[in-house]
Amino acid sequence: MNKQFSDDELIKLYQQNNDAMPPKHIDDAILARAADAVNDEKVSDNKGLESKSRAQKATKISNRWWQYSGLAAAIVAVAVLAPWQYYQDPMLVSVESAEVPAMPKAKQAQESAPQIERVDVLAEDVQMERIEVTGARIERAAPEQKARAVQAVSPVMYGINLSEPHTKPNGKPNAVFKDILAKLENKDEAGAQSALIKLLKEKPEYHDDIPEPLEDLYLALVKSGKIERPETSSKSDDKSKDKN
Amino acid sequence: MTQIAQLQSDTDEALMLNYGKGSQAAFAELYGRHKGPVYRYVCRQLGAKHQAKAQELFQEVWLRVIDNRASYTVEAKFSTWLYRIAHNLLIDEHRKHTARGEHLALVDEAHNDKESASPEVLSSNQDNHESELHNDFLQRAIKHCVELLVPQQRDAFLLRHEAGFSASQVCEIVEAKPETVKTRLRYAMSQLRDCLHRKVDASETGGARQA
Repeated sequence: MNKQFSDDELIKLYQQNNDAMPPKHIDDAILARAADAVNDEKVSDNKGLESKSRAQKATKISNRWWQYSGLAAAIVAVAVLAPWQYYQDPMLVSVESAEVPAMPKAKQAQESAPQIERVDVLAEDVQMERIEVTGARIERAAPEQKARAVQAVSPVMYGINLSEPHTKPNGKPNAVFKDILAKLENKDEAGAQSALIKLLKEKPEYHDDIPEPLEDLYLALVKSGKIERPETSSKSDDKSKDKN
Repeated sequence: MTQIAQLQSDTDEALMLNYGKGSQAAFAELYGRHKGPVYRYVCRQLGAKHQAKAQELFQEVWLRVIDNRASYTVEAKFSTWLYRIAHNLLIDEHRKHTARGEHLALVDEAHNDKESASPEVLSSNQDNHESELHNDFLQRAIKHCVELLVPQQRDAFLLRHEAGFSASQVCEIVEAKPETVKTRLRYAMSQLRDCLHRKVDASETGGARQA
């Protein structure tokens, strides 16, 4: 018998008496397991809220632990790094910024003063240079800069003629001639003449510092011979020549 | 009574969803429907010599179903899902055997044992009840031939002809292309035909020699 089997015959042969089933004890075990799983689930549903709250508490505690440790680490980091920042920051602060508070004070000083005294200010003082220095130098330089700022700002702001030839730092000539000028303003020419003559006799060095309002009076006195001009007084000669 | 009728009319998917909601009866019905085919599929895949392992694996399949009851969603047929679980477990088992080199040894051993011994046993039976036993011989021979198939071909053959899946469903379970599955099935049938032919020839030769 050398029969050739077709696909259908092979399949039919395979499926005949092919009714093997799992043993009873396996059936029971699986069904019992399925029932237990369902019952456990029901029990766990009842206990679910409790366990859930416990789990949440545990999670919160663990979360807090991380939060606290993170906070502590941040504090340590700040404590370690903060001094470095403290010393580094002044390195970048310029003198200009240190001058800023001095500006309003300067303005106040200018506003309160009825008359501004003329001062000589060098060009280099007027220019505000941006100089980066250390904190210690800033502290030392700050008062000086404030003072300079007062001097530097005021002429510029009020348009004072810095190239005035007889401006003296001590301001004495103005003060000396003040009374004479007052008399001249009050049209007390005789009093002014006598005061001027008296002053120039006492202090001949003021021949070169005659203020402009008194120059006419001075020249008139010189012409009349009431005042003798000293030989060193070249400036007044020049002025008289210019006027002539 | 009406509840039992209701369960019997429910689809596999509905039963599984009911079981997920806590219905034990739904699981019992589902298990009753599929336990035989799944058991035979697992047993045939592992072979007659690994009956204990097959039973263990069969239980594991259903335990997976139980454990995944809550996460089950109707994305495919329940049977497809069930056999995919079984298929994956069997693949793991085959890998273990292959790693140990036992699988091939067992197949060869079984092949040699049956090829040499069974014709004589069968031939003796054939003398007594020739007409009755011939069909029984063929049935046992083809089951043995199925065990001798390459695992992938055996898998495709069992899913198609033991579990009754269509070719496309087999593709879905084994996650292979349709052409691949068709090829496996064709080779499986060819191998079975040759194997059965050899067994019949051997039985006839043995019977004639004994006579």
